[in-house]
Amino acid sequence: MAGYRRNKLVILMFLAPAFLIVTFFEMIPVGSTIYFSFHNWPGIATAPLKYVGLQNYANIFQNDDFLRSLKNVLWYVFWSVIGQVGLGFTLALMIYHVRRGTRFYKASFFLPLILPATSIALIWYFILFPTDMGVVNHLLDSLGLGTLKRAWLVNPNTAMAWIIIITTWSSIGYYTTIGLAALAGLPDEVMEAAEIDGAVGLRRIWSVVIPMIWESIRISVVLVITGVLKIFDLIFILTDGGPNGTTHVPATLMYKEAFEYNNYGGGSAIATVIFLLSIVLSVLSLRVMGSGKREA
Amino acid sequence: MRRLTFRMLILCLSLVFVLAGCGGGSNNGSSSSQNASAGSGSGGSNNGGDKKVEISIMTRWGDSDPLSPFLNEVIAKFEELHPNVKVINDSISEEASYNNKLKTAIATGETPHIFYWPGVAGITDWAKNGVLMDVTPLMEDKEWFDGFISGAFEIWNLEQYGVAGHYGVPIGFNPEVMYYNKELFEKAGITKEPETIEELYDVIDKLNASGVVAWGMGAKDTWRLGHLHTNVFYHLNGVNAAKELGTRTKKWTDADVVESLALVKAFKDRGAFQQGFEGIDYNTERSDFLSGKSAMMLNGAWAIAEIMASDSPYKDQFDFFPFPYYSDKPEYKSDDVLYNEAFFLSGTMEGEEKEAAIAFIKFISGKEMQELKLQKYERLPSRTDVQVSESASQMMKDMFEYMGTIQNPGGDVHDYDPNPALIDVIRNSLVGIMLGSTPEQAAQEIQKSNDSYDNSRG
Amino acid sequence: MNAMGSGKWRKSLTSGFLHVFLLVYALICLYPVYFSLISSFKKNDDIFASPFALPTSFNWQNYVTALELGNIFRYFWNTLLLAGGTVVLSALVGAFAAYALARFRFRFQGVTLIYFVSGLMIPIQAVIVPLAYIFGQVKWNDNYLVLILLFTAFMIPMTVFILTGFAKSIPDELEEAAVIDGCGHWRTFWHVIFPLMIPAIATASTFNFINTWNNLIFPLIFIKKKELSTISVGLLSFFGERTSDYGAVTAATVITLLPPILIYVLLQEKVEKGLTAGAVKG
Repeated sequence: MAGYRRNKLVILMFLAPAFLIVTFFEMIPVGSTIYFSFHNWPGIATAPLKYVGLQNYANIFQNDDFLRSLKNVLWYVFWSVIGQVGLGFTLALMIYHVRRGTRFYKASFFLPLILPATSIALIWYFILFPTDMGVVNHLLDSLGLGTLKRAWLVNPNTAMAWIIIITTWSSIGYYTTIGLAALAGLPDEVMEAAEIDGAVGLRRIWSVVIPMIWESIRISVVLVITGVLKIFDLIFILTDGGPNGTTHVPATLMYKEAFEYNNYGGGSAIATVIFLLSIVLSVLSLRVMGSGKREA
Repeated sequence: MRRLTFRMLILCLSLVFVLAGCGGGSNNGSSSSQNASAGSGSGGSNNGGDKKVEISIMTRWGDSDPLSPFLNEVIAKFEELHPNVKVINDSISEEASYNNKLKTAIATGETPHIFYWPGVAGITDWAKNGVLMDVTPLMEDKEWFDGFISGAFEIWNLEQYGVAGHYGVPIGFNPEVMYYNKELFEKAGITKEPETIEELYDVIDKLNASGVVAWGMGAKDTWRLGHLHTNVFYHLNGVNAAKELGTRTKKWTDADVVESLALVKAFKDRGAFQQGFEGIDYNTERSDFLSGKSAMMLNGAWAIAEIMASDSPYKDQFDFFPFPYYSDKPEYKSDDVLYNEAFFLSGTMEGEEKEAAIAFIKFISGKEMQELKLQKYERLPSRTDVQVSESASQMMKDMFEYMGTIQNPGGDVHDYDPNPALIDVIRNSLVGIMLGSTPEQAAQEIQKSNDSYDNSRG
Repeated sequence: MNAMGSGKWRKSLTSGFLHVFLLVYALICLYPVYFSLISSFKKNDDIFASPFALPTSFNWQNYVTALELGNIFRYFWNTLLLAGGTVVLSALVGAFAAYALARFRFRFQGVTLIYFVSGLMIPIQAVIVPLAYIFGQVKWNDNYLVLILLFTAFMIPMTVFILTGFAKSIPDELEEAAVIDGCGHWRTFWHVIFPLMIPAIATASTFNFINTWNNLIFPLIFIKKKELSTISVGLLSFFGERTSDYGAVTAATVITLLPPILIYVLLQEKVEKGLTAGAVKG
C-alpha cells in the first residue's frame, strides 16, 4: 500500500495534463508580465522595452491614487469575505434546514451570478438613482428617513460601500452553492443527532456542523479574496473608479495604466502587486483559519 | 453499473467536444472560404483563384450605432468598385472593449489597416514608432484634398510635438451647441436666444422659476462635464490657450485656467442643473430632454440625428443656439468647439493592402461618401464641397451653416496635450469640484498629472 | 408530551422565520430578472424615463433586434460549445490532478498545489498582451480547440483547489479495498475516487461554466471572425458610441439567461444523486 501512494510515474502522469496547460497558458504569460513590470513600454510592438528596474514599483507606491486603491481593496476584501462567505454559508444552512422550496431558493440565489455585468450595472443604477426616483431613496422617504437620501454612487463616502454591497450580492450564489454541496456531503447520523434536539440544535449546529464543513469555508475565503482582488468589470461600469478616483481598486488602475495611458510597465507592476497581494492574503487566511479539521 | 455508464458518458462527451472543437474550427474555416469565393464570384467572373486583398477597419461605429449602416454602405459600395478587396469591419462601440482590442492589436504588431482614435496629441507615441502612416503624400491628390474644410489636415500635424508629418484623415466634424426646447422657453417667458453668458444666467433663472430643470447634465458620464468645460474654456481664454497648455507654454495653475474650472461650478451654483445631477448618466439626461423634463442640453451635432429618430413629442420644438460668450471677452466670441474625427492608417502596411487601404480612406472621406453621410445619415462631413439635402431638417441646415461660420475652432481641450491620462484627470477633477473641492485644488491635480507625465518622458 | 409539543412548535416557528428571510432574499435576487424582463419590452428612452413602470404594451421589437442584430442564436451555440468543452476538459484534467495531490504523498506536494492555486491570483487583463502575442505568432486565433485549452487553463486553479479539498476527505478504506481487489491506479481512480468526487466536480463545473459563459475578454481578443464570436461579445453590439440600446441589451440578457440556469439545475441534481449513489456510508 505504501508503494501505491508513492508511485512517482503515476503521480506524474496524473499531474501532467493540468501542469502543462497551466504552465503554457498561464505561467508563461504571468512571467512576461512580471518581466514587463521592470521595463518602460508604451504598448507598441515596434517600440523597444526600456529597462528601468524597480522604477515602476517606486512610482506606483508614491502615487496617491494607487495607495488609495490599495486601501479600498483591502476594505473590499474584508467586507466581501464576511458578506459572501458569512451570508453565503448562512443561507446554505438555512436552506438545508428548511428542506422545502430548496430548488426555488437555490435557483434564485444563483441568478445574480449569471447576469452580465452590464445588466447588473443598469439595474443598480436605477436602484441607487440620486433623486426620489431611485428605489433606495424612495424607500428611505417612505420610512421617514428622507434626510438620509444621497446620490449614492457619486458620493465619495458611500460609493465604495455600495460597490461592496453590489459585488457581494452578485457573488453570494457561489458560496451558497459550495456550502450546500459541503452540507450535502455530511454523514446522516450526525445531522440526525443535531435535528432531534430542535432549537437547541442551533448551537449544536455551530459546534458540530461548522467544523465539519470548515474545509469548504476555508476554500471559500481564499476564493473570495482572489476573486475580489481581480474584479474589474463591475467597478468599471458602475463608477469607472469615480467619483474622482475614490472607488478605484488596483485592478481598475492596472487597466487604465496599461490600456489607456500607454504605460504598460506601470500596469504590469500593478498586476504583479495584485498577484503578490493575492498570495499573501490567501496564505494568511489559510494559516489563520487552521489546518482544516477533519471529520472525526 | 451506474458508475460505468457515467464514466462512459464523460468520455463520450469529451470526445464530442474535442471533435466539435476541431470541427468547429475547420467547418467555420471552410465556410468562410466558401463565402470568400462566393463573394469574389459575385464581384465579377473572377474564379481564377485570385486571393482577395483583405483590409480591416476598426471604428467606434458598432452594430447599434447610427453610423454603422453608413459604414456598411460605404464598404459595400467600395467592394463593388474594387472586387478584389474585402473590407473587414471590426467596429465596436463600447469604449473599454474598443480600447482593449485596439491597444492589444497595436501592442502585438497587428494594427488594423484603418482605425479611429479620438484626440490629437495622444497619438504622438504612435507616430514616433511607426504605428501610423504619414498621409502628407496623399495630400498631393488635389482633387480629393481641396474639398476638405480648410486647415482640417493641420489638426493632425504633429510637428509641434516632435514628429514631422500629418497623420490623420479627417472624417467628420461636430460643433457643440446648446439645444433647447422652444415650447418650454416660451412658457418661461424667454423671448430670445441668449448670446452672452449673463443672458444665459437669466434664462436659467426664468426656466427654474417656471418649474422645469433648466439644463440637463448627466455628470455621471464624466465626459459631459468635460465638454462643458471645453466650451467655457474657449470662450474665456481662446482656443490658442489650449494649444499653449499642450506645449507647456501655459500651466493649469495659471489664474485664467483656474477660472475656467470655477466657471463650470458657477453653473451648478446658479441652479442650472437638477438635484443629484452628479449621479445621472447621459442616457437619463437625453431622455429627460426629449421628454420635456429639462429645457436645455449641451450636445454635439450628432444629437440632431438622435433627436429626429426619437419619439419625442417636442421634436419640432427643438432648436439650438451657439454657446454664449463672456461679454467681457468678446474677442473669443467665435472660439467655438468643433470636435474632430479622424481615421488613421497603419504605418506597417505594404503592397496591395496599403493601396487598398489608401483607396478606401480616400473613398470614405471623399465627396461622394461624405455627401451620403450628410444627406442620408444627417451627420456633418469633413468637406465643404458637399450640399445639405433639401429634405433635411431645419436644424440640420442651420447646423451646417453654423459650422461654416466658426472662426476659431478647437476640439477637446485635452486634444492638444500628449499626456494620455489628462482626459481622465480633467474630468475627474471637474467631478471633484462639483462635490466640494476648490478649483485651485483641481488645477493642482491636473498640473501634477502633466508634470509626472513630463518627468517620466524626460 | 408538553416538552415534545413546545419543541415542535419552536421548530416550525424557526422554520417560518427562516422561510421569510430566504424568501425576502430570493426576491432581492429575482428582482433584476424581473427588471430586465420589463425593460426588454420598452424602448430605450422609456427605460430611462420611467424605469420601474410596467411596459405599456408587449413590444417584441427588442427581441427581434436581439436575435437579428445580435445574431444571438449563432453566438449561443458558439458559447455553449466553448463553455461545454471547457467544463469537460477542466473536470477531467482537474480531477486527475486532484487525485495526485490528495491521495498520494510526494515531495513538493504542497508546492505543486500552490502552483496550481496561484493561477487564481492572476488578473486576466494583465496577461492579455503576452497571450495575444503568442496567439498572433502561432496563428491560434479563431481556433476553438486552443481557446478551450486557454479557458481551461484559467479554470484549473479553482477546480483543482476545490476538488483537492474534497478528495482529501475520502476515507482511505475505500481505496484500500479497491487495491486489495486488484485494481491498479487507473481503475481505482475511475471506480472509487472519481464517482465520490462528483458533487465537488458538479460544483466546480457550475462555476467553470458560468465563468466561461460570461467571459468577455478572451473572445474579444482571440476571436476575429464574427461568426465564431460569443454571446458576451454579441451583447456589445447594442452599445453605441454615446448611448446604448438597453432595450435590446435586456432582451438579449433574458434570452441568454436560460442555459446557465438549466446547467445549474441539471448539475445540482447530479450533486444530490451522486451522493446517494456512491454513498460514503461506513
